[in-house]
Amino acid sequence: MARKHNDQEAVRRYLLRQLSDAEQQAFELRLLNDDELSEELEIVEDELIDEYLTEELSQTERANFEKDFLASPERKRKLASGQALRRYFFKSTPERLPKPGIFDRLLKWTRQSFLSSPIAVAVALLIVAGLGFAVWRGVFYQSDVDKGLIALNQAYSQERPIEARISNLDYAPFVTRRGGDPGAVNTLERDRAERILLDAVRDRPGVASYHALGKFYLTKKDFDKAISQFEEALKENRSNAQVHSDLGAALLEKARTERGSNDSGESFKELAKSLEHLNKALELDSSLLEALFDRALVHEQMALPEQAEEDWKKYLERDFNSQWTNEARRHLTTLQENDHKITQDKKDNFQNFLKSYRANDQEAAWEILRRTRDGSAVGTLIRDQLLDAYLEGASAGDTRQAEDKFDALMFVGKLELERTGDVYTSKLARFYSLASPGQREILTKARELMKEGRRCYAGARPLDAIVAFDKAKGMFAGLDNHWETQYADLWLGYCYMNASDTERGLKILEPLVSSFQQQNFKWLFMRALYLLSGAEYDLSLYSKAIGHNHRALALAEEMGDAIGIFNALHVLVEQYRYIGNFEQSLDCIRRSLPLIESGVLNQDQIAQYYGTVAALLDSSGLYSAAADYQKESIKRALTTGQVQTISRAYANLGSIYGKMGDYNRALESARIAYDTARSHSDESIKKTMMAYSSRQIGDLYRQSGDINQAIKSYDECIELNKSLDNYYGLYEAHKNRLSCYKVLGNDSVVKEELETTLALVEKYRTRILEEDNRRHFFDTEQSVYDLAIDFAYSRMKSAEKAFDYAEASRSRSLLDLMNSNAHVANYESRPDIVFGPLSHPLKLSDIQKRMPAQAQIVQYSVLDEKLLIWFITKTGFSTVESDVRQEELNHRVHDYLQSISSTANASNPEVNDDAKRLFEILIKPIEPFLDHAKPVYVIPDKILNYLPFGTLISPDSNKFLVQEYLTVVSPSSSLFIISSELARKKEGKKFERLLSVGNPNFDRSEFPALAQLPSAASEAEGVAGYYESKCVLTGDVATKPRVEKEMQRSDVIHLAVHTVFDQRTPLRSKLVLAKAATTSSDERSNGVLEASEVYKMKLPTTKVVVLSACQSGIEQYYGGEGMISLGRPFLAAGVPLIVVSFWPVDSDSTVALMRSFHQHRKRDNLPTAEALRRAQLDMLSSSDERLRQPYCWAAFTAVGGWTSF
Amino acid sequence: MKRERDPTPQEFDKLLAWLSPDRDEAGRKYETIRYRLIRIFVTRGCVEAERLADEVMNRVAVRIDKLVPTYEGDPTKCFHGFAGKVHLEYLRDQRELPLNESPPQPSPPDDEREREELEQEDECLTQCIGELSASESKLFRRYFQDEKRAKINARKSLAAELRLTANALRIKAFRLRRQLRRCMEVCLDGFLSDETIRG
Repeated sequence: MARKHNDQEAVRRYLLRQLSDAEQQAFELRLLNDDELSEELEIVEDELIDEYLTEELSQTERANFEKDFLASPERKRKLASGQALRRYFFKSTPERLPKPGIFDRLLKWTRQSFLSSPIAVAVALLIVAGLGFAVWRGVFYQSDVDKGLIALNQAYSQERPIEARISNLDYAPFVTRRGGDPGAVNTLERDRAERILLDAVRDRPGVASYHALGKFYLTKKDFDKAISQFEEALKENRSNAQVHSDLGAALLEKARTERGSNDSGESFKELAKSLEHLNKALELDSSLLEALFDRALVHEQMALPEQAEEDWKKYLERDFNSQWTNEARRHLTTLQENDHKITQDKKDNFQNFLKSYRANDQEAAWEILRRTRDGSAVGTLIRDQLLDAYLEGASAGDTRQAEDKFDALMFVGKLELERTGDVYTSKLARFYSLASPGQREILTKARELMKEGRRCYAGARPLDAIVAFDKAKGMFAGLDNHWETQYADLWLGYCYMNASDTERGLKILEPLVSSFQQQNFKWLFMRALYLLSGAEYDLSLYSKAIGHNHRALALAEEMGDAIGIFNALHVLVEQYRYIGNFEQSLDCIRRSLPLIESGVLNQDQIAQYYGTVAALLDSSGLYSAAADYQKESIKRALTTGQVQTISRAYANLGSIYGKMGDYNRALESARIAYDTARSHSDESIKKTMMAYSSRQIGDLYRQSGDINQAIKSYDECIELNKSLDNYYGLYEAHKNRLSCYKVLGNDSVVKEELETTLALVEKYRTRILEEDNRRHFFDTEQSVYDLAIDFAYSRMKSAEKAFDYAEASRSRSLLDLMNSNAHVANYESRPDIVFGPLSHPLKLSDIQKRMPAQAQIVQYSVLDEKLLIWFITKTGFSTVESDVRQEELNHRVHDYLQSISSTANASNPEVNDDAKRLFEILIKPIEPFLDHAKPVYVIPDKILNYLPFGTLISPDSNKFLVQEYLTVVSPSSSLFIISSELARKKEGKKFERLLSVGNPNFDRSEFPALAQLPSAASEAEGVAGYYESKCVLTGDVATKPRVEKEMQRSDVIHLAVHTVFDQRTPLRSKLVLAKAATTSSDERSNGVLEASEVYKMKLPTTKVVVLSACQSGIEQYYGGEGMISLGRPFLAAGVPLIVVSFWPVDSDSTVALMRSFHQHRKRDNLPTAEALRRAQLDMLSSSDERLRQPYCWAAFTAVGGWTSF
Repeated sequence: MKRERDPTPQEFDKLLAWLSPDRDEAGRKYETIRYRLIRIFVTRGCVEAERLADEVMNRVAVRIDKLVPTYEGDPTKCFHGFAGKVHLEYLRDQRELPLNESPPQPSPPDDEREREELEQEDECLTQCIGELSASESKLFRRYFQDEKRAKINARKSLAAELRLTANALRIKAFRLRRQLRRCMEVCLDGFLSDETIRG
């Protein structure tokens, strides 16, 4: 009965769920047949339970044990039996026997006193038991959860581990420590708490035990586990205020820990979630002091000092004399002192600068200068204040003052020149030094006009501001003061933008940008870029706007200009949010939030910023936190009297309340926004704000079900936006009015509205130039196209129109790429594709005209409630509707893929049933149209992009689709035509040159998780044997420069290599090659070929690319654009046909498939797609059962157009 | 998960015949496969492992007419294949379960009941250990009563005393423990049935 140690280890890993999928499958198959292994399994189960109880498991094992092992009730029973065993041994060990308790003594006493009377004994016993139980229950009894929490309290009685308050935990001081010092903790009590609470969760899972264990993890700063336990508790009871409060505390502490590290804004999101839970806790129980305390901390962390102050004050009103109050008081005092300091600093900036100047303290002077360059406020620029004081002194004959201020101005110019290379102030100072008294008089007047202009701007009177700036500009120009003339011009451009004449603003700003750059007026250059970005954004030129803003940000960072950095980041938050790139938006918040408390900003800037943050939180579904920011925005805006900011803030607050389902408050806020907007003196701003709030009102009516009122508001919004030429406003209003019309069921109106909306979408497409932004935008707007397809087909009864909509909705960026209307640009060191003129998809008639006679197209549109299948040949067009819902199709395909994409379930006959059912849904309806002799070009949609069609089984013939038809995938019908035409141009070359790459000797230190692929080397060598001319690169020689060079002159490229995906930036996904033996830092030697680099290539001779790697055809799916994969850039580079994989492939079976494929291609002279099919059929008829599984033979597909080669 | 219908007696007979021509042997095989499928589902973290194992057995039985003529190879592989599919469906059901409709959990016993249960367990364990032979009882105590390092040393010396390999001792102890667990189940069932009568 000798059993292998290996088995024990394997069983242990199996039970702790540490085996890979393949290992697990193999293990289970063995388990079903092997009696010894089966017994071993039970032994190891028992051993694991014992080790768990005696705390002998490692941390990871323990975590797996609790998460997976204990999931089944049966195992829990076994655990209980293990505990019983431990109790047994515990009790039977004499020295560990507990001392006699009160019950023992009472029983002894009763036995002695009443032994003579059995009835008396019984009665006495009953009384004693009853009394005892009551006393025990009322006074001494503690549940496990209570015991655990008492131990936890004792563990942290000297010092609490986190600043946030945890519900029902006693006060202990919080000490901030550096490094990993855990502080004063009683580890014995802490471990006891852990044991008891883990047992409690196991034995009595429920709100109390989950909550208590969550508290334990929170004290241990194991925030993820704490959050997970609190969430479990909330699943049981969503109305438990204390759990919400502690979850808020956990999220707060997690965010604090992550902050500062490069968390891409995730910590801010956690703070917002924390606020959501704390608000909920207080909504459920307004007297919950812990929640109030923690909310004050969160408000502090989120740079909402006024709300934090309010919370601390409320806290101190409710908690008079506990030890927590001292901390609350300290926080309040610090906040108030900071506030006072900021106000004082602002007042003293000028005086402090003069002091530093006089002391020649350049560092201190520069620090003040770089923090105070607020280009929009009146009288804050040190340069302006010095010039004014100089002119005042000179005109009053106070030479001393004049000289003093002039010297200080020169000092500013010198500092700017030295620190940033900016020559503006020094040149301006030289001009003033040469000005005559008469000129100085004019300059004084012109500068007064500039101040007047800024005041008008601040008072939201841009038209008046324009008059003032224009006059000032004329006066400066009259004196040949080129510097201030241009500065006045910058203001004019800005004011035109604000007066809703953005085009005119843009015309002024564009030449200024290059002029400032050429003259080395760095600060003005940065400001102009920032303002230009605003104008472009208003004109919906998002990519340009974002690009210019990033340049402004980079310049501001280079100059250390705090306000410039803030401005750029603030606007980027909004711009990224607008195009749906929330991740970037959050990251900009993370970077800008600390500046709010730095005291460099004015109230209007802060009010607007809070509004922007609120909008992002609103878009992210964090409504409660969004409302907090929006209220703060309103509070600050009201102190400035900025009508525009106030109106927008109320409109947004209305929208947030609407999403929270509070329509009364929502409509009230939106109406205040509308009325405030109407009071604006400037007609254009008034209209903009009215349009904005009328759309919000429309949305609120629509959401509350009052469709007619909603339409009225949208009507008004559309009219206003038309007069303003605001495309996006128009698009949103039309899109939402379209939803209203659909509800009312008026087809003719829906049709008209649909066409208008789609025209606006297309207009929009031309304005989003970067692929990343396009993908995000159209991913969210795909529903508009789906609505159009459905409406055209179902209501307009026009299958052709519906098809054209379907074609217009997919893979448009790839179409642009293939038409060479794009290039790769580096964007803050992140590559992105920038598009040029828009390509238009082909209409059905064009597709039929240009498609090869030998081909047939099957195109799918997966809609919410139905599936449409189009069948197209050169002479025919048919449509079939199936009533399968998108959700059902998703489930079916998902389950089917799970089954076939590993070897595990292949022997299950039910997998075949699924393949047949999918055949019935996807193929059977169009089967009568299909011609066996012609290849079928499948254009999938949504989930169908993941489906290997060849594996579907015909229920009639019981054969796989691949046995009956040749299928090739194409991203869209238009792309199929383009690829087919490209293929035709590459026909005719008899001898083909092959580049075959396999198992490059990649950099192990950079990719430690990747294994060597010796079979890939033999694959590369093996396939090369079929070609007349070849270049085989394996091991060290398969370097990037070599591969790139060979690619340019190869007809067929076969790459048997590893792939590494970059989820965040697909352009960074890569094929892993050998690192060139060079010490240079040349990036060409880095040993990876990124997708972005392939997009830059043109492969004029390449006919076929085979990516014999894992998931080379599947990476990320986007609504609208379709599948993004490592194969895509090769299509864009002009390769008409690629062979790519659906899932992580098995290396050995891939070798067999690829050899057979190239053999059929070259020896039998078959076209590529047919050769791949034959190779798959060879595997299907193999004697090796494993190779007959779809996992092995169906992993690869051909993608592209019709080819004769 | 869509539940399979129960197999007809004919289908069930065919299934047994497929497993082995000897009906007794087939019955044993059936039970073994079922039991091991339960272990597999338990390890995969399924709450209703027995139900899932039965579902697999039913699915295979219901399809037996189609399977027998076409299926080549070891039948247990086929059961495993079905188990994979049933597991996927189970996972999907779990994902789809709305938050407010989590699977019914046994309600926690009140404090008194819990104490009572523990006492019953302890009583049963004492009784069952009492039913072991003296040598078995001694082996059992010595095998299980220590922890960590002391446990390893105690087991080594015990194995040496009994002239057993460490693994043989391990298996012996496990079998005793299994015997004890079964005894406890019977004993606890007795408590339960008493209680039912009382209720």
